[in-house]
Amino acid sequence: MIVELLFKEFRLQRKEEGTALSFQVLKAVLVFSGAILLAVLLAFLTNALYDKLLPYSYIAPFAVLCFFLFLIFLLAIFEGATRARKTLFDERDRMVTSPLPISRFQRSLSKFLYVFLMQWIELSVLSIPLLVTFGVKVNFPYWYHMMSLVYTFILAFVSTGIAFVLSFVFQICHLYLKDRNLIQFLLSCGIVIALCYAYQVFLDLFLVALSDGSLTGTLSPDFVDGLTASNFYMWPVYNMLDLFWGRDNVLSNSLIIVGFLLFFVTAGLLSADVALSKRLPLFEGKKEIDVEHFAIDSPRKALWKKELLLLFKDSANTFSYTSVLIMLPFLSFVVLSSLDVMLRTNLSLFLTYYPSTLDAIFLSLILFFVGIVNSGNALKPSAEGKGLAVTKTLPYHPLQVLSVKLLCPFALSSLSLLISLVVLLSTGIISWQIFLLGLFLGLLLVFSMNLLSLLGDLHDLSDRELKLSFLSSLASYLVPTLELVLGLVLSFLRTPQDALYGYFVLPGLLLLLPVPFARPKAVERLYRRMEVRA
Amino acid sequence: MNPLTKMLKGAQKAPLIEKEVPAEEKKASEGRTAISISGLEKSYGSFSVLQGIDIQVQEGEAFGLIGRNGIGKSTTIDCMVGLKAFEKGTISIFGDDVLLSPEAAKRHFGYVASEPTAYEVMTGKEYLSFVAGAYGVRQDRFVTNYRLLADRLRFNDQDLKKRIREYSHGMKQKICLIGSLIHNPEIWILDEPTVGLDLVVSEMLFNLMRDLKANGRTIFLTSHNIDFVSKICDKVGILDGGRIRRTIDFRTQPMERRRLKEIFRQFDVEEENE
Repeated sequence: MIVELLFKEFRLQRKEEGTALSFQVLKAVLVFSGAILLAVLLAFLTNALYDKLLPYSYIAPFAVLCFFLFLIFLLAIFEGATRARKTLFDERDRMVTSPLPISRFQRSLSKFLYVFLMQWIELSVLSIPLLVTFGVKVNFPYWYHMMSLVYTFILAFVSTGIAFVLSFVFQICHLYLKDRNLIQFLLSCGIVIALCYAYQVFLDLFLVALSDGSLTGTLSPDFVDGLTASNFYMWPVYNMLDLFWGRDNVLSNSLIIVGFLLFFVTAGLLSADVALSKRLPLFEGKKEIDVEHFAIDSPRKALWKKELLLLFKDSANTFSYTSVLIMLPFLSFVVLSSLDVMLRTNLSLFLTYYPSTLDAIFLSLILFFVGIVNSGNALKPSAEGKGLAVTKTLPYHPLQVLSVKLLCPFALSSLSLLISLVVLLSTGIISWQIFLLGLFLGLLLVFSMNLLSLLGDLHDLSDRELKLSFLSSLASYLVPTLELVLGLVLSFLRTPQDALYGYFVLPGLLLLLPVPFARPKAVERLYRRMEVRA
Repeated sequence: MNPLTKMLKGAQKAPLIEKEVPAEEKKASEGRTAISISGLEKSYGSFSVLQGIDIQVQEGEAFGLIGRNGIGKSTTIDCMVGLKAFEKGTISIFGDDVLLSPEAAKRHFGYVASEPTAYEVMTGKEYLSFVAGAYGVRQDRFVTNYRLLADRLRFNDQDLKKRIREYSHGMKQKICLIGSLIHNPEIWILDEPTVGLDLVVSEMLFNLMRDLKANGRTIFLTSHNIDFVSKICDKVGILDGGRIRRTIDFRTQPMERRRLKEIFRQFDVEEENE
């Protein structure tokens, strides 16, 4: 029965019900390839870092390894707690399984094993490359690599136990945040900023690993010394590394590991049992709804609100557009600043002869980023699915509906672009000419992309044979590429810089092409002709 | 007589819920054409679904459009509510042409699709706020309308907090029904309203339609449920071969109400013979 329940847990998490087998196989192959690539990248990075650290101190690689593994352990706990919350507090699953003749222990155990298996896989993908690289670097014998599997196996049990205990806290937070959109938004901004910071640190480590110099930046000698001193407190990761590979303090380390394992596995299973034992108030929010004080907006405001809700509450958009929108300023800063340092360090002579090359690269990258970010918004009519039938039967004028669809992502993407450019200008990465050009061309690109997306979609929904939805994505790649090619060619021809800025405007003029097709009457007709199935 | 019917029919008579219609105005409006469809033609590629439909529905009437699967009932409604374009013909709602002044025409009706059609990412509250906002419903009227409809359909206020995607099929249909009536429309257009509903909810829907009709509201519906149609409708149109083959007015031909199933079957047999 446990096996059946375990399969049920995996099936419940599979979102694409009814998708073709070929698609599922393709997805599995992609996920597997992604995991292999990640493992290879981690092995490469840590190998380069260990090379840098070994001359500094013999125990420095161990300290960094322990720190990285501890971070992975914390990440696994967070991820596991999210997964445990979903599986333990799934109301529908509870309604289906509760009346069946399955014991609560079996249900708890199946959920525990499900989270454990996922944790083991994830911990293995992330931790084993680090451990194996370390083993190779310090010439450990073959059995050392076998211990990596034991390490992830034990640690997955511990992290699953902690995750199940924490799932209650996560559920309380989930219920608290459920109806608080503003706090949700602020929190997601915080998470995205933290992720950007983490990305910057990772990038910095990567640059340190690749550079020829000594330990600098994030991985400074002081930081490494601090890690070495604090390793001891990174339970139980340190204890396992110390036991399996240092073979020091065998008794105390063994006791600590067994203690962790028994305590958290028991606590995790008990938590699952409590969560499934009775109807806890944690299953639903308590906040009463007050119909008497419902705010009814004006028609125009209701339309804006709807578009914002679709953008910020649809998980598809939240991850593809809104979070990237917040991340754009940090992403562009991190990438452009790293590129600036790398190019100025390694190509200084080249840049002396062709100084405009950097401008061309930076401008095209800014446009490329904003284009990619903007293409993630799914405010085109077809993305509304069945909901489109609601709006189409309401007494809105087509131009009113479409103007909001056009302006909403335009306003958001433009704001993100402006902040990105201000950050780049204020940190001295771009000149004010590139700032102005980036702003002008970026706004034009965003507007043109949204217009093309809207017109293409309206056209396609009118049941024409020729599909035009791809034009918007094409513009997001084409214009930055043209800017880059034009900029590089002109800088090689040693075109005066001021003239070059003028030439940069030319590809942007292509973006005005869709404007004549957006005559109000024509757009209105397309909207009315659009076939919608309720 | 239940309290709602009393309220609707009583001294404070208010079409749908609360809108007061002066007696003279009501008298003047009697006999107005609520829905006028003439020569409606619609095709999908080379397949001509509607080949010249003519329907006249007077204010206060309940009209049922019946016919076999895929015969064009939903297409007729889709053309009326603006979801589909059509090649020929005219449709007007209380004199407002759906092509010439679509926004004015849309203000007259509330529409319910055969499948629950709402923004599933929204909560029930957000959805109703959006729909009410689109019609510019005043807050106090919204509360009155919502209260009445939620009571009638036994919709729990607490469910308004949940996202619509978490609703059951019946709950989704209920929120769509409430949304379609929240602005107190003169015409209620329903496409296969009983599909997927259990007996209890179907009865609630029937009672609501009956009370709305009694209160002077016009109803236009399509359904496979012949019993449902024969009980609620004053007039029925049988759609076949892209045209209205027969219109039956139960007020002038009361015996036909009982024979509706039989008549409907005759069309099926004729079709097979052809």
